[in-house]
Amino acid sequence: MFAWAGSILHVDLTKEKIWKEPLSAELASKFLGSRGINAKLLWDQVKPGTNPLSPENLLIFGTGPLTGTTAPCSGRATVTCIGAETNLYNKTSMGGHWGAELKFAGYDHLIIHGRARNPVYLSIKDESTEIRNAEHLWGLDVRATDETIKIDLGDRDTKISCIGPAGENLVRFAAVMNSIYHAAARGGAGAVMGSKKLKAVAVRGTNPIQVNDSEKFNELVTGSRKQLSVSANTMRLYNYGTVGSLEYWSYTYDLPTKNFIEDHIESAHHISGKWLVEAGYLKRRDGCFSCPISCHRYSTVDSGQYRGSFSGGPEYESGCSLGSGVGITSTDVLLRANELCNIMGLDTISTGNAVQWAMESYERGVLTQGDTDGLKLIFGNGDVLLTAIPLIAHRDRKIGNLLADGVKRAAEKTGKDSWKWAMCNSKGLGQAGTDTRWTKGYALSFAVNPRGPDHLHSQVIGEYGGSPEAVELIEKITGDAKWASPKYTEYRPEIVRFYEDCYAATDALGFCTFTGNAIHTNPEFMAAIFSAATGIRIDGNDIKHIGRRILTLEKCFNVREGADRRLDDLPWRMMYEPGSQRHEYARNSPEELETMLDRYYSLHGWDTRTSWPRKEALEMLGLSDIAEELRRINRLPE
Amino acid sequence: MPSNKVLLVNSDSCTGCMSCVMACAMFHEEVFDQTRSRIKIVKDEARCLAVPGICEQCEESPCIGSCPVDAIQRNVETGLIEVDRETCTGCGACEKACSYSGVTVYNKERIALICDLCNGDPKCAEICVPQRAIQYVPDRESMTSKRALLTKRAELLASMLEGR
Repeated sequence: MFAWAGSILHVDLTKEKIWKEPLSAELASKFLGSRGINAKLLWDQVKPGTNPLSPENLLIFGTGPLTGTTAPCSGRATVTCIGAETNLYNKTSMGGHWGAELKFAGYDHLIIHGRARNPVYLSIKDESTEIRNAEHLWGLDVRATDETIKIDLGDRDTKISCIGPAGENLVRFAAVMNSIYHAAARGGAGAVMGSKKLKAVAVRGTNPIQVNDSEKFNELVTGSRKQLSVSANTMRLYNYGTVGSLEYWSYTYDLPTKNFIEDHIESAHHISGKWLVEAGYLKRRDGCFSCPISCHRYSTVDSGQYRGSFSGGPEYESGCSLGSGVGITSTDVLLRANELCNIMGLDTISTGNAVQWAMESYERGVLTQGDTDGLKLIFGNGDVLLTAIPLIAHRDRKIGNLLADGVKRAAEKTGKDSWKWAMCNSKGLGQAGTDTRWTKGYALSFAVNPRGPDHLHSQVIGEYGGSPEAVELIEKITGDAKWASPKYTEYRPEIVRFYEDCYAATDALGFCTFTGNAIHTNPEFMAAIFSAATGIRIDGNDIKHIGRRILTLEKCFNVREGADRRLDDLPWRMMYEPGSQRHEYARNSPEELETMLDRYYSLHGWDTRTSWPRKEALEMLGLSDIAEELRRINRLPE
Repeated sequence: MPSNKVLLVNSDSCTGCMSCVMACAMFHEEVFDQTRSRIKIVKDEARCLAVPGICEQCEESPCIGSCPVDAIQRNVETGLIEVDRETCTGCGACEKACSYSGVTVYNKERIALICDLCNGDPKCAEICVPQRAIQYVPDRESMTSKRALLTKRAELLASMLEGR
């Protein structure tokens, strides 16, 4: 097998059994790898109705066929399970270096079964895998865990994925972290790892990865790297990171602020990428494996109250969730909050989301000081934010425990209409930092995303028409360049679908989506480099077809869990409370959303009443076995 | 012919992405293999610190003197440090002697690997864009900065490798 390592590693923590399974060629060519194969493994091996925190849930790590090569931005890995935040399908992906290391150790996928009796960690060194005692690591933060394991194993070069206290305490939005600061953050994979009493997976690999046609492969690598290196998008990300754009979004009244009540914050500059550089907070740029962009940051605080704080990041989403979202524009507080989330192993999006909900609830008098253990949860209070984060990670006191279950459950428990400002949709995942009220493509993609309202299944960035390439792409999809504006609802289903197909393939191959028209929205390129790497000849249409197969399978997973159209919605505030004057008080009215959904399901060949995929659609994608199982449980529409 | 260009390695710009390591292995061995590269990246992940280790063809060349079987010599024409594959036992003495982490012992074949500048077109420098932590540049213009970068890098590596 070229490009793939050719092997799946299984570890059953209940039975303390370790075994290997060859990666089947059929599975590989049908689902490519990483997110794609992970989804099929989860479908096949997890029973419907499984509690995410039970030993029966699986935690599946996956790399792509291009992971571990010079293909640019190909170092990503996916973690898949039933998510603790939603009880539905959850894939969450991470950069860093762990994925490539797993490939070098000789594995494309790692499946964790069962639950250990006492805390353990795994040490994988090529052929040999060991389940080791982790009692001494339990309770340690991510940085201390990483350091202690490196000392234990006597190997500074080992790459470690682990959980912090948040994962141990089953915080429903705990992250799996790797190389300390890279997070597979969304949906609570860290809680699933914690429920298995698995503290970490340390990997060291010394095997080669071979490609089928190295001459062609190298040529494609050189070309795509050159294209990336001259792109304005790359330079923006390289210079200022993802957080570089934050200031702009505030300027245009698009920045989620104070739990999405507002859309603009004074002094946004101080939590923006350019300021981090100008004021000397940024010390280095950090690259994921094989990435020429290096959008990841390393920042430190060198003076003041939070002097000595250091961490990877911050990213745009963190600047939004732990900055403008909580009404804070202090650089020092943001960096400290980001560091705390990273070392505690928390998703910054859902953490900020929970604190924002609590702040609004407190200001409205729905949460009282009795509920918050005396914490004065008001917007803009940095001390309170920094107190709340460790409370959440440790499920400490009443307020920590309430917020650790995420906004959906917290609002259900609290009542008094507080669900109206819980920024999650019916699936339960906290909404990422995009105000969907005036970005209609994002609204649709957030609503239909199988894991919940975020941008990581279909990032329709092109709908802004922010560059000549974006406008050209929208014209290619819709037939007219005029639709390259987020205010339109027309053609959003077509645009979302194009991005969905590309996104799934990008993830499955191991690529990063920050690669724009060099890779991410260039199925022809993905097909060419996949063919050179594996020797399996496919074209751009095949890539989109496979992407659609993966996305549809993910949808089917949720259908099997009982999901239907009612879960494809948006947070109440997005649907019923208009946003700013600048955007003409736009909102995602139910009528508007329903119209886009009808069209979206029809394009997919899914039933518009239930949203369930039809038999013909599944068969067309080579998913007859999936159709058969859905028919058996009466979830295949007539 | 001695080359009139030198490798300029600036660890401040290195992001630790490993592209150079992979490009090196691909050029020399036609595989992607982090253990079979003539360049390596020494890391302190907690501080996102990454420092490239590569042969600098330095004048002192302690690797040559350290070799117990005389397998390492300098090619007088090119200035490159060369390893005789037949004689080398892969003992690692040269690896320890080098201040720039410029030697990798490939354990599976017990052989020391040292940079050969890819026949005058180093792949590590070619792929390091836009970071340009590794550049291959005319030596006359670069010798002063090269010396400063080298001293800094040797100090960094020494502090990072201490106690390993």
